[in-house]
Amino acid sequence: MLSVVPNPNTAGKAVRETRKNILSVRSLCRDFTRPNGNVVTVLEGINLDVYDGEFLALLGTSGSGKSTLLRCMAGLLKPTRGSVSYAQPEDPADPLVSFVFQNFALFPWMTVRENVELAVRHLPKHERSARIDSILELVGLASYEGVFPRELSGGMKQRVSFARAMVGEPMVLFLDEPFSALDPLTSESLRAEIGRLWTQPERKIRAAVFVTHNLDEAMQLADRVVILQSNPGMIYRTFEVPLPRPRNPNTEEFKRLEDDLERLFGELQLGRMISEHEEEAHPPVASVPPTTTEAPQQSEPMTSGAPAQTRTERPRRVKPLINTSLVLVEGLLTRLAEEEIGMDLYDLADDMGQSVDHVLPAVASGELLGLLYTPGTRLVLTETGRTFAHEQDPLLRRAILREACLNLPMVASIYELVKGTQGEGLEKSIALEQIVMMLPFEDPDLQFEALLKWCRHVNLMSYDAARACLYAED
Amino acid sequence: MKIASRPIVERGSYFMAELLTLVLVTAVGLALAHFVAVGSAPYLEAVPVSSDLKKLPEYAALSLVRSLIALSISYIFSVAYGTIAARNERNERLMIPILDVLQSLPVLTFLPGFVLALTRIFPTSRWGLELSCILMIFTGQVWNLVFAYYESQRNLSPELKEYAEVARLGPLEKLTRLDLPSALSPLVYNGMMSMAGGWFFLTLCEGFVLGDKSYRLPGLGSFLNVTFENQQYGAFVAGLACLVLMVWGVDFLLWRPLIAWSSQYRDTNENDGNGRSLFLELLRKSEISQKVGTLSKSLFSHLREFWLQTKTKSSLPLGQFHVEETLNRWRLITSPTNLLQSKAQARLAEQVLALTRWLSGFLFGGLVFLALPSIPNIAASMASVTRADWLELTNALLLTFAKVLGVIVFATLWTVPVGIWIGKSPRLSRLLTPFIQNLAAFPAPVLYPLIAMAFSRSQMGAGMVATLLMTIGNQWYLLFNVISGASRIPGELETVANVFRFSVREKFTKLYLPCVFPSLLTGWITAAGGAWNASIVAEIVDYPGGRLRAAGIGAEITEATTHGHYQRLVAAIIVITIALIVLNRTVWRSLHHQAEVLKL
Repeated sequence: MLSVVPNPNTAGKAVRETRKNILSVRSLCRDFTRPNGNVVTVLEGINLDVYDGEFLALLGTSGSGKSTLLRCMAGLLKPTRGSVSYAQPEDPADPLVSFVFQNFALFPWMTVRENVELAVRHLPKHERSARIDSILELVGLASYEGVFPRELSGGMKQRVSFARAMVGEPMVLFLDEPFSALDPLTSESLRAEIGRLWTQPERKIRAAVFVTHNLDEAMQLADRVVILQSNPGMIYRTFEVPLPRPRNPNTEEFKRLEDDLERLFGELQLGRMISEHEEEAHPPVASVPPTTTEAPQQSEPMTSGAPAQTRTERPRRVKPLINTSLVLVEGLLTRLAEEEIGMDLYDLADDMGQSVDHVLPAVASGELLGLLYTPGTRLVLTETGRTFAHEQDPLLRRAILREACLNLPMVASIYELVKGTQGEGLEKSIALEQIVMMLPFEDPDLQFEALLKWCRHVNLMSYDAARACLYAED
Repeated sequence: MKIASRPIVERGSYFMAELLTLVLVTAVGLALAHFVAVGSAPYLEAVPVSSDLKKLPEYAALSLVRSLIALSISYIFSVAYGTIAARNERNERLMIPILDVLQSLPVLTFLPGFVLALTRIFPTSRWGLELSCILMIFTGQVWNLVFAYYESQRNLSPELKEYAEVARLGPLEKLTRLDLPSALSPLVYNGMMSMAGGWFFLTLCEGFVLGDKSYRLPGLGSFLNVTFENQQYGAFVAGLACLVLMVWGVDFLLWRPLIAWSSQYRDTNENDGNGRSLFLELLRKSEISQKVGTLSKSLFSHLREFWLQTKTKSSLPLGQFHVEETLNRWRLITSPTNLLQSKAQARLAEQVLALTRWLSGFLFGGLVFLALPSIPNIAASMASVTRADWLELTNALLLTFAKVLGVIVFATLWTVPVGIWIGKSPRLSRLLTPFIQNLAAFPAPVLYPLIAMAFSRSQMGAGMVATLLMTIGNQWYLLFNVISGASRIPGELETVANVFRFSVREKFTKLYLPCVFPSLLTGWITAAGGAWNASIVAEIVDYPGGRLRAAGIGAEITEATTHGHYQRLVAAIIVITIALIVLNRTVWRSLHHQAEVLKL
């Protein structure tokens, strides 16, 4: 099944040779300095080309630095290392870039027309008004031109934002999660509209780069999907979507590509939580991921022994916590307990009506706690997980979770430290130091936050924000 | 019948509108002309102020013009200072503490410097005195405006800033299109507060004694002073009425329209009842003002067009291009800094930065150079302040501190229940808020002599009376903060309290007080600041046939100024500044943190 798309990279190469490269990113890195002085690397060694006529999607879960990459490409952020280069447009006076923001970023004190006008204010008056009229007509805002943004719905605001970005006919259009602040129906209709606008024959915009965490959006709009992995953000894989527009999600071809993309994305996410940091030594192998049908068979003995063994085979490393609520994990376990043989990640997400990236943190946490394991993109409960899901007594349930948390080396070590203070309380700074020592590559503040969330949930430790001290619960 | 009568009413109000516009324009023109005439008149230390009622409108106009000019300067200063401070972190670290210090200095501190310097610059005309008066009003107005503008710049949405970069707004465009509009509401609201702050020292700014000289400028403040001193109580009351009218008129003709106008540019849809102004509606009906409006609009847009066209040629070509062979015709722009900024722009920004650095260095150096030779002199003269003096001053400081605490306790005791009562009823708070705002804008110190005289027969100690005087001016801040806090108590919590049958006491301690506390705290900070400042005019009050003197740092400062003991004045200022900074940094800051935690 996968042999049909052996390697998306080579498949597109022949076509791409003939196309012009209009934006290229070379070995780009971006560091951020946190207020406490720690330097966090958000992006590492990004090499990326954007070709003429391309609609490119940057896909990644939160924390993969996709927005940062987009801002670096648009020139809003200066890369720490590396370069971003643009081809010069035919007319050097044409604007290079434009940007659509997640939260619209419309000026609240200007009318719709004034907002759009801002992008083309340098043009002569008659040309300016002609352009504004036509773009407002195109996005269906012609009768709203004198209205202030606050009077518009979210979808309408984003239309204004699109109009503003396109009216200047920039060479590259950047879109930062343009649909995620909208409700599903509005986002659907706006996406279709963008698809239609993109196929307009007189389109002047040469390329578009958009950031998303949503696979459907990427499948519907992108010619090429760049999947980013997190911590630090690197390009994991690129994925061509050579489908004609308008796209019909019901065709064979579309479904097959969608499955492949889902698997690729799922593998990245699920693979990472088993071997956090290990790909520093072994970068992600570009080999074909195992199909969903193969994977459960490989590790089919569904006893809890199997995953435990695989875990102990690896060099035991301290794993970072995942900043998510354990309530979600509990819900996930309860849902999985209804299925005898486990469930596919994407089916589960569909079933719950959520996109995969909303479910992933809970899955990752469950796996970290040893409550479930993931052959391929399948989710299967471990023995502990099953016991937990079937236990009715809330106190016992909490005790199981507490045990699971205490099995994590980081939680255990900090709990020991807190107990060692004998009721005096452990200062936050000492806990942070311990975290930095155990997880030098992670953001200690986020880890601390996650630690608090988990420990409070299982009633292991409490935290006094005023004194910045951790206390053990009896 | 009704249908027929409507156009007539409309026409009547149209006529009213035209008339009002004309009258206002004429009045403003006359007041300005008169102000210029008075300023250019030959120099006089103390301009004689007649107690003739016919002169009253003229004096009121003069005071108003001064206050408005000071407010304009305050706006300009705030925008400049706030922009520089908010733009980069290094400036911020220096400029905000400086502001903290300046803010805590009492108005009188600046007086001798301004007067001595400016009368020397303008030896023949009255501009020196006029300017120092305006600058004194300015120092009473400016600080909260600066803070408000700075805060609004700090809280500006980062995405809007990013879009401004993407759209390549120039510095001037960024100011007019982004920075100023985003700060519109805080600038208007704080302008209103500032105006009140400026009125507060009306009498002090228009007539003051400096060493052996006593200065006086014509104006409403000095009119009130003179008539009270001469015991012409009829004229004094007329002056007070005129003052009330002026405060109300400024509110009606300036602030209400501004608030109504600015609220249409706000991001939210909520209507808090402040969005209406009768005057603005009238003005919009007036044909003259409409004509003027459209004319100025088209003039403005022409100017902008012209400016944009000139910019089009110069700024649009992009920065450096690096040719790379692999992409034959396509040239590369490396390093995205020059992507959104043209070369010319970048160079300009660099030059401006270099210039400001050079200038500030030069200014600082110049100051040091000028001040250096006089340091031994200053040190020698400061040596005349003995240890006993310092002790006395510290003692006075503690006494005033006790009074400030008294003000807060007094004011809190009555404003909390009353404020909660008003704030919980939307109708009452809508009705009373403008009234209370006007009360707060009324400068209490003009009443101090009257009250002091009234209490002179009673057995109350001078300290108590002074505390009372200080409370009168500053309780309003507390009241409207409590009202606004109480009006935001969530209805659901109230229901919960009813469900669990809270007693009245429990409701107060468990619901109302915690809800109101953050705004109460803001009120405390403002009221305490105001009380420190008011101590200067409240601790020494002269009235015909007597004088109220309460021991305290305010009295020390006033006496040092009027007797020309500049060393003692400087020492007193040092003492009070240190005390205020310490208070700000410790008590208020920690309470502020507490309030942040409690915020809903």
